[in-house]
Amino acid sequence: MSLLRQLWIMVITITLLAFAGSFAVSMLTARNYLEQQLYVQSADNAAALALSMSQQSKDDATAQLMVTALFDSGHFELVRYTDVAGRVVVERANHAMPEGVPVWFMRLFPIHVGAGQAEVSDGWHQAGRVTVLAHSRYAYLSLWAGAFRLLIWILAAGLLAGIVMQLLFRWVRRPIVQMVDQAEAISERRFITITEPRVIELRQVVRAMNTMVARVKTMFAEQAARIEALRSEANRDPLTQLANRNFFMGRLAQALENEEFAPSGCLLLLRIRDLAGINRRLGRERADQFLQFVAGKLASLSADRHDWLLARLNGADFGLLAPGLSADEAPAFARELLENLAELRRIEITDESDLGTFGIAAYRHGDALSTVLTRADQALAQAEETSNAVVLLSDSDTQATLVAHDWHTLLTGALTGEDFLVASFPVLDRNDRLLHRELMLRLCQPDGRLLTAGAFMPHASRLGLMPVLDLETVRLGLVELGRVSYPLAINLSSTSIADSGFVDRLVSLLRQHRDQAGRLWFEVNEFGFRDELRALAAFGERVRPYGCKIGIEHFGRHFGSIPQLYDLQLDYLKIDGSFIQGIDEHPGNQQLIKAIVGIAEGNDMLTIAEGVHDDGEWLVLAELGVQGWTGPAATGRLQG
Amino acid sequence: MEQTLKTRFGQKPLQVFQAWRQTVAGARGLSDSARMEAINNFFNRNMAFVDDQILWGEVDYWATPLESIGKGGGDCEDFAIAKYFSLLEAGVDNAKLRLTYVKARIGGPESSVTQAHMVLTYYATPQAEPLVLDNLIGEIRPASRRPDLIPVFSFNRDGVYVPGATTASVDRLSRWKNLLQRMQQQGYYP
Repeated sequence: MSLLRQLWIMVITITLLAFAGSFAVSMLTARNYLEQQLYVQSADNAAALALSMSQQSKDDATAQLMVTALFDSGHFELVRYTDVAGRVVVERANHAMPEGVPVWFMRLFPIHVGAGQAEVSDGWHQAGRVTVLAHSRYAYLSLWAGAFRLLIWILAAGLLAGIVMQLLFRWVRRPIVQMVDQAEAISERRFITITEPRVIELRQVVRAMNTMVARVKTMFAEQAARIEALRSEANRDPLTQLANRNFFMGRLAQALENEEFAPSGCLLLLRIRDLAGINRRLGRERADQFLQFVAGKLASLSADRHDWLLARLNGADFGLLAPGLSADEAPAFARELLENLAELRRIEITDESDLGTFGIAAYRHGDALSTVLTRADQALAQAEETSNAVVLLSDSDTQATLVAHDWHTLLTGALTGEDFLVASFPVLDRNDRLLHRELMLRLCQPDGRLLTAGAFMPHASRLGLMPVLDLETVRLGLVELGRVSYPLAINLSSTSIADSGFVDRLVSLLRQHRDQAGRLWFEVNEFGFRDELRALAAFGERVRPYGCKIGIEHFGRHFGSIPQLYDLQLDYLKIDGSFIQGIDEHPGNQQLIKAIVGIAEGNDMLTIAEGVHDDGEWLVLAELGVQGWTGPAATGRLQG
Repeated sequence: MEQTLKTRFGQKPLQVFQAWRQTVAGARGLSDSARMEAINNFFNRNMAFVDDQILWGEVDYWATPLESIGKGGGDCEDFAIAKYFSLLEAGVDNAKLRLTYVKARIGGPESSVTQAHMVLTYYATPQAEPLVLDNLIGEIRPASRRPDLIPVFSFNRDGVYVPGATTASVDRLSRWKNLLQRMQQQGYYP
């Protein structure tokens, strides 16, 4: 029962009790007074009658006359004259009940009238005794009328009290409701502050709650800052602020196996020529400045490709991972970069005319990490030996997958022809039980060959087809859910989530499949989600009623500020594989994971590690408190 | 009772008071006529006739037995009241006793000077001729031997005293009721 209802009941009960009490007291007092009055009337009249009868002759006629005279002229129930022996000589009685007074009322408040008695004497002798009883009829009428008036007053006063209470409650209610909302919001991990009410007791509570909310926000901000610091420390090159070698390798491993990445691409290695010489000639400081400029230049030239990753691998080596870049385009792109870097010499940042050399390795899904690295090193070595600025090495059939398509026709055709398929990858919990499977969309080409998401998604995005494709994935996922008992996770693009048309269609799909909808986990790429905070919150409100979970995938992949997790009511976080790669040998990333797990647990979020490659990594992750895992090792564990 | 007497009237009436208590206690084992003899004589001897106006500063004040003993005097109704309650206490049936208003011819039956007076009467049976206990003539005589008195009206505790009735302001209007209340307060209530 709510506090307000309890207050109401209390007020009503107290009012009723007070009124019942006052009613009873006033009724009993009035009745007592009336009884006294009636007794006095009886006694006085008895004395008067006895006195006058004592002066008269005592024959029956006179006695009868006197008794009748008194009875007829007054309000009596009984006037009786008995002789010395106690025999009734004359008696007049009127036992009529009062009209208009309910019987139950007379039973509830009975009026007992004491009889007045007096002695009649005849000279020195006793003659008899008179008994007079005043009639209670008028007393009952008066008592009843009084009760009725009291009742009217009670009702009027009760009504007035009710109105006043109502007004008072409305005044007190608003801040209380706000406080309840705030408390509920806090339990849902939304931290809001409310204005302080004018009621003093409530004001202190609200002030305390607001202070607490502010403190929690500060705490979360501090945690986020700590995560950010840890991530930078462990994964960035301190000089150039680019990703370091470890982070780069983690990403490369993902690019080689994850369907979300383009099926093929290029790994570019840039080695600055004679860094030692620059160091010697221009001094350490100038050399560092030079490297920073190179990093800035490279970063600005690859900035528009957010799935690419630029890193400083060691002293003079920079690496650029370019998924989706074809072997045909790569050398030209590398030369363009070199030309842009040549600017540095012009503005006298360096005295070296020949800035560096590129070794490029083309790769495709399924290539081993070491193979690709070796290939890139070989290309770089060849370039340095041959004084060629750019050398590309590739597997002979790498080119085969990179057939140019009319993507619009292909994608729309596949949608109408229902040529899309889904593949799924397991996500396990700490006890190796299936947490859910993550769905990946695949396209079955007319010639029967499969295209993975990484191959067609960039084109779909460019063509504005993401909402359509996402909806197709959800549709296929719901069909799948009809067959299986475990939950499924589906990636949604931030474009789709911000598209109200998409959300409407998604919700109607969910409504049609209410039974399955509760097992859907929607996840958004952190990079897209950061721009669409509000859209994600709105999206959550729409789909949460159907029991869907919402999470972020690739958490921490992109350097930049950590989003305000507590504002979003997320259910889970998938931590990007870049930090997971080689975690067992990387204390910095272990600290980072621990901090992320801490903040996630504080927000009631599940943490899942992406791209776990071997059991050693998972052992360390489990130790750090991560609750789920996915990647090759997890897939292997489920099959084994 | 004794305490009340001391605080209101001092040590002086204490002796009379104790004599009264002894007389009443002694009368318990006697016959009605002997009881009346003892009580009548006690009051006629130990109480002086004093007008209310002198004693109490009021025209007509009904004193309780305790007050009469305290003052050592009273007027006719104070005598009657003191005798009435003492007899009740000694064990005489209330139904046999009446306080009677009489018209008294001062100076004998032939006198034309009359005065309002009160005596105590005793009826051995309801139909019997009453005995008169008076302070004017010390001897107890049957009514027929008191030609100087003409009865007007009689009453006793019945008809006034209602068991269980609570005291309320209206009751004070009755002189009789007022007397009974004062007796109760003073601790004497046979």
